[in-house]
Amino acid sequence: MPLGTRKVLITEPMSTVISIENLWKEYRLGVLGYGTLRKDVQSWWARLRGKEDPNLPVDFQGLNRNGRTDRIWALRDVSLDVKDGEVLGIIGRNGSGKSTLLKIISRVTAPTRGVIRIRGRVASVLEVGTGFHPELTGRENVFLNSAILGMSISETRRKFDEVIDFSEVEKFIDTPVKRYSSGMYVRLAFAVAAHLNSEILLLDEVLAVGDRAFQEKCTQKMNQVKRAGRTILFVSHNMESIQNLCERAILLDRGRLKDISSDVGHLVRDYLGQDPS
Amino acid sequence: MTETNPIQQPKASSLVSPIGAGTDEWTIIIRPRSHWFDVSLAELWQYRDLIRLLVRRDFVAQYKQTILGPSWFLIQPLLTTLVFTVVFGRIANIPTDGIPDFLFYLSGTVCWGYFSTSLILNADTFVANAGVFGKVYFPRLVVPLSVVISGLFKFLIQFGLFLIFFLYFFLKGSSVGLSIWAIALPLLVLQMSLLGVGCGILVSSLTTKYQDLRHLVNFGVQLWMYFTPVVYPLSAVPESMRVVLSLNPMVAVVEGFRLGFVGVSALNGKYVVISWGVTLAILLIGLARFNSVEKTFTDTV
Repeated sequence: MPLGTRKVLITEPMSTVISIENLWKEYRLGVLGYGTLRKDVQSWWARLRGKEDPNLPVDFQGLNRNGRTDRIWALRDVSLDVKDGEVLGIIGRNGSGKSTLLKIISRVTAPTRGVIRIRGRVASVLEVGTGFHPELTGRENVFLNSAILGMSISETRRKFDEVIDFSEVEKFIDTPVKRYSSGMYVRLAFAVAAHLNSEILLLDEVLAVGDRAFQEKCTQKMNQVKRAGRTILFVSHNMESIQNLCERAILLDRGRLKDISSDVGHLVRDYLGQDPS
Repeated sequence: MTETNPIQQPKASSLVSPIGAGTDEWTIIIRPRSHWFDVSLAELWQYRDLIRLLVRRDFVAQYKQTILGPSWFLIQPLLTTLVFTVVFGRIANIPTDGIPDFLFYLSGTVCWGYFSTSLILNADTFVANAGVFGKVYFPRLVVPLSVVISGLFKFLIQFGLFLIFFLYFFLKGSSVGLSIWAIALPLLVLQMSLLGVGCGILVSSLTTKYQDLRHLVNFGVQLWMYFTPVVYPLSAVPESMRVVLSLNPMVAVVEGFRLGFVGVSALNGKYVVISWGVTLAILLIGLARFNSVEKTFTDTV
């Protein structure tokens, strides 16, 4: 099969586009950094005099002078390689660290320990429509949103017709988005994200929005993106779309990488088995 | 905020392929903490289109939301100057170095307006953009930069207004005249911009930790104005107090502007040097704080 051989030749050096090494992420609960100046001065003054910090949470007084005991590790020692052109599903219960992982890869927050190396541009669609300004028209928002996601004006201009076409809001493109219906809003936002020129696409629950027909369209678009050779990291609670779209999946459990498998169906069954919800 | 340092070096794990197998051209490397001071100008340059669009958005949004639209840029300094002229000029009879009082107050108002707006808007950077910052990465410094650039446009419009009045008083034969120092205007504008960004990002970094500061900003800026020769000339300040007052970098800026464009000021070189020193110090501290906050602030807000 000459065709098959050729394909193998092209894809054989499956290079790593995301390399995650021993990633840890810690969040602080209880004692947030978001206090008031008065409290900080109070605590500092109390410590200076050797007294008990009046702002410590009661349960922790015996444990830690600084009240820093209530920390949680959202990610614990996660190591993972993502290959070029791969669609990787990420599943796990709420709070297992799925979104945290995507947030760190998209550089919204920094890891506590560990290193991630990435080849290519990353675009995250953690929540569609982020950065839309209600007073601006659909057209203006497409440009602004694309720029926020890292595209230049000329790149957006080239893709503009495609985006509008996909979003089906052509008629209202010069209307301020505050007058859009929520469906139109979401369609336009997803269209912008799906047409980004990034090599790596991060999707967090994006398919949870829109009506059935639009979800269908999104799935098609994702398949198209996949065929174009882009790498996708896909977080979803929808096991059906995970199984349909992903070639490989990882299962996170309380911050740990519990399992990683190319047999996505098996992984999903395993996950559903351990958690009957 | 205590930060956890990378205690252990990443050790090779079975899941990770050995780094180096033709993989040395990584585009992004994410590590726990950056150096306390690393502003990537190259990266900011990559996002220049975003800065452009944000500046545009500021104008368009403001234009669309109000009936009078962009004429607010002119009404605001005019009304302020008018009130100052009546209250401080006519009622309180504060001397204005022999300059027509309207022009005197207008010069102060235009400079102070640019600086204070930059400060107040930038002080809100993290809180106002928490939604976007929590979802998408871009160099956070893009936001303060765009605020200062759109402020600069407003300043230029207001400066045009000032020039019109200047011309009016000049032709009327009042004691006003350009001096050679007018050529220092770009430097004054640069200093105001740096100071506006510096103070703004310093406050915004602190507001992620201390909520109180948000309420203090507007109030603080109002008080700050009274320690700046906006409604009085530096020459009215006792000699002994001038050095202390010049620690406020805006003193030299406002007086420098007057020296250039109305030709009278009690400014001297020492105050200018102090003023630049303080400006750069604030800017550096601001950038350092901003850098350390921007990476993890989404965890705390």
